[in-house]
Amino acid sequence: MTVTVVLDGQGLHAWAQRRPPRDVVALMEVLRRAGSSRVLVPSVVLVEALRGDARDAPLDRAQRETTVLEQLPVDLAREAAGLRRGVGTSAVDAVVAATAVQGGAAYVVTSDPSDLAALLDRATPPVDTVVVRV
Amino acid sequence: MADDELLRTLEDAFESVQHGAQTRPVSVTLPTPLADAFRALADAGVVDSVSEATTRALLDTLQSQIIGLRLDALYAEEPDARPDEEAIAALAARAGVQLP
Repeated sequence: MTVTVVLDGQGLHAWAQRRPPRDVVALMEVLRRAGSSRVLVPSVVLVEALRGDARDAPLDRAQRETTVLEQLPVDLAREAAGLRRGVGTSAVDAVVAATAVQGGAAYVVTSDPSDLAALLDRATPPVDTVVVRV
Repeated sequence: MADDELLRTLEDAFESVQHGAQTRPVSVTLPTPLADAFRALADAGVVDSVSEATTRALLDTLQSQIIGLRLDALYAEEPDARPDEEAIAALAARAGVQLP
């Protein structure tokens, strides 16, 4: 079984660290042991994650080890809009949540666990995505 | 090949595939029922092609290998960064992931 993870901007920052947070390391151990995995990063999260200077070097490397989703298909945008309706979270968080829903993600790594959980709770049909806080 | 060099080779390959690397025909040996099953799926339009499905599966495997090499490098440098087995098992269980 392929285990899919979606990273938001802080999730990408966390994996890029020289010493990632313990929960992120444990999660990556799950992916290693599963033997088949996808680490997805919607390109829009890079807007928040990148700084546009030399400090981006660790992120650049981490990004090379993930699948950056360069397209935002209309159906995913609509899903994000639907999840966000009435929740009041950022559009970027909504795209992260919609990516997790459509990608059947087992995990989302985020610094906004409550926002992501609220978005994922609105998914139809319900999803069992685990939110990992960084 | 040293692990660090291997990791960079794998990262290069992984990134190149994401950006539409060139393809070439290679011969692989698959169990006949598996090859037949994916041919049927391709004929039914469920998967784009056997090549596409195989590429996706290999890429997913490569992702896990890259993560593994990153973790090995981390543990070599900072042995106490290794998470305990209970934490790994608990995280897997929360998402219903069955680990070998």
